[in-house]
Amino acid sequence: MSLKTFHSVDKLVRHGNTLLKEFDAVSFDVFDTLLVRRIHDPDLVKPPVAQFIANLAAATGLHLDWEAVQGCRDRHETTLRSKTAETFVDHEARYELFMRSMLEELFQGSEQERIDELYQQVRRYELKIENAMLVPRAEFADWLKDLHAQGKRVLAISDMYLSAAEIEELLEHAGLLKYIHDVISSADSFLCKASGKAYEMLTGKFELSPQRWIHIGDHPISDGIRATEAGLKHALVLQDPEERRRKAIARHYQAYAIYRKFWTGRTLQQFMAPMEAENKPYSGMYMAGYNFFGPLMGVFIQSIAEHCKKRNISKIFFLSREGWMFKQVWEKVTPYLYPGAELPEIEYLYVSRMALAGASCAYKGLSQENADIVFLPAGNRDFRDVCRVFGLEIEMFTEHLQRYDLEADTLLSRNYKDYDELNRKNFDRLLQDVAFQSEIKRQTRPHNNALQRYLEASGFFVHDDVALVDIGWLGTIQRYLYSAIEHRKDHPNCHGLLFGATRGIPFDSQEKSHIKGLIYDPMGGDLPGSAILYAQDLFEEACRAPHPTLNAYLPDGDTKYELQFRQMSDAIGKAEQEQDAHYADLQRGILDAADRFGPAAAIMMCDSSDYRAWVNYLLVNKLAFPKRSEILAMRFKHHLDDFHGSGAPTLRRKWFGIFENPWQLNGWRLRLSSIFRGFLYKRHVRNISNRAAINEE
Amino acid sequence: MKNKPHQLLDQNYELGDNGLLRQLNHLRRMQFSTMGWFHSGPGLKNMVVLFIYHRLGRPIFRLHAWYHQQPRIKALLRRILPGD
Repeated sequence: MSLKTFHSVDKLVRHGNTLLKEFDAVSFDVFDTLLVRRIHDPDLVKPPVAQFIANLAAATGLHLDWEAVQGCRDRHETTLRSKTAETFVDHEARYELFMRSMLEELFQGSEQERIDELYQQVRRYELKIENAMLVPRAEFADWLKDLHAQGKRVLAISDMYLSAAEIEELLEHAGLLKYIHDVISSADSFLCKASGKAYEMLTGKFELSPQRWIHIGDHPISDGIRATEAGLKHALVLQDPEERRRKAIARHYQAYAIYRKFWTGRTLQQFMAPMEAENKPYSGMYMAGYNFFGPLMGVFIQSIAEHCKKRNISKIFFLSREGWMFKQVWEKVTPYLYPGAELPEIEYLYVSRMALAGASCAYKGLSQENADIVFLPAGNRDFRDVCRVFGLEIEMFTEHLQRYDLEADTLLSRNYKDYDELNRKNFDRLLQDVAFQSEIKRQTRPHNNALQRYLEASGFFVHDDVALVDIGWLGTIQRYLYSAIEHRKDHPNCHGLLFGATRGIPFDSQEKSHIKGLIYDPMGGDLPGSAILYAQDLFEEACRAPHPTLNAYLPDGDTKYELQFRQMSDAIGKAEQEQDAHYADLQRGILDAADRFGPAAAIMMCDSSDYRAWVNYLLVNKLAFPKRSEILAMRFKHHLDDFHGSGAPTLRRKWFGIFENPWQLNGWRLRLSSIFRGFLYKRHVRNISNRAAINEE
Repeated sequence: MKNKPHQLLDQNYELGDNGLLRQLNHLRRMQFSTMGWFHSGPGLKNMVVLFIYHRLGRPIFRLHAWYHQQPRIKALLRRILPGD
């Protein structure tokens, strides 16, 4: 009988292959042998399950916290183990037995059918979390396949409170069950490897010859000494120092996160990290999506859910086009984070500034504020841009313009050299003209009617409170949308939840319409979050949707509507398609990160505010202090913004441009600017502080 | 982030494009300028311990595993070193 210890899977497999002729049956330990966990402690799976049970209890009016549920579970498990110890040497427990008895205690008075239903829900959720945390060891998976192909009898044996049925589900999810003939768990027979009784039982049950049977595991006693004592010819024990190191690192991060919140987000990313065969080389774009954008969006989604729960918001509208990505992340993350909890309905709403701008003028006309917004982008210069943005027929306004000494191409933007303040004042006076405003309302009313029909069909007016989720930045979409529906008595309270609220133009927060930036909001004195201002467009591109932008809401008869999307056959459309291909990897990274964010965040049991310090660090480091290679890889090739006109303002570069935003530099300027990142950030901090001081005044 | 493919978690268990050195740089910047709010920051002691695990952990853990397979050396050390 031979007991050998190996420090790498590779060496164990090689040695195992030299013994192929000496055995017909091979058994593997399951946990930490065939399957490894992303987390260092298997008990970390229990608190989110306890939280799930607490949520289920809350739905029936029973208020429990998760610690009480966990305490109840531990008590029932201990009781069962004590009872088992009266008959068996091993103090084993079976998951189904102690979980059912726990549920019967918590949900006293419930019928057996209800307990069965609750048990199935809890079991399903616990296995879902376990599956998310378990990863097959790549080399063992390959070896299993070979052993199965060679006709060896393959068994999986585990000392665990989960029954064979549950372990089979875990192995199936890992893609290993098809190579395994039988799965044996100590929870079914109460006989463990730890006492050696499991080996005796298996020898009889499966008619195995110990001389032709080798066992592989990670525990020196259960998988090593006990196997050889049972007469097995070979027992191979894996004591992998790398696996111990990985777990030690995860344990340290989690311990540090308790008293230094900076490490909470890092711990989350450690639990999200790919392992074994998952951890193959990826492109820089995918890495940015997985390690940077993905966690940021996960935290954003978690903040949205917390915000909505606190304010009893019953429906969330994810606004196109960035809302498409947010909705995908929501659908991946929330089933893990909020199982059993009542969450708002969600819907994707097709909107755009261009489509809403015209519709917003139908009842109140073109306001001063909305006109000022048109001239914020440097490319917009005159009244033709105003007509383009609001979908107006310019010919109908010639007379109105002439009454105020204006032409269609009179320069109205301060970004241009020949700008005359008098023209702008005349334009501001024109905005007060009743006839001018009547013409605007007349032209935009059909678009507003179509918008209202669309919103009615989407159930917008059915709810008292709705959340409008968008990337940011000024809240223009919500501004226009609210103007378009404000006249209706049944319009809901609109809670604008933005990824970043720059507040470049003050948002006139009213009781029924307000915005809040969840990742960046200067109203919270958020300095690191302001790093978003370095590369706002990058976030828009990262969240791009696989459909063109909406141009207008068009009436279709008296009762229907049509959504008119931008055509993609022109040069800009082709550039958009090029952008789609450029960012495909990054978006794939974000969605893969979202798959792992949910279970990792469920295990962390933290609020979104606990990740704030790490989120701030990610934003500052990646955006204010990026590497040159990151800028070159992530920067977009084209950025479509139909709101922006085609004007070319007169701007001068100062100091050869090396002190400009590095995300907008190229060539030698970009290389040289890397020396001045700190200086640029200090200037940025000064600008933000000055802006905050002006806003306060 | 280089253009050639990289693992998301490298062989030292650091995030591929956001390793420990980057966090150390951030800690250094925090000492000398206003960077913003990061709770209590990473902490120098924590960074040192993590640096040891991430960058020096491979040989240390291998040595530890090798040591536990050497009963003679363990017995000798027990005799030499003061202990319980």
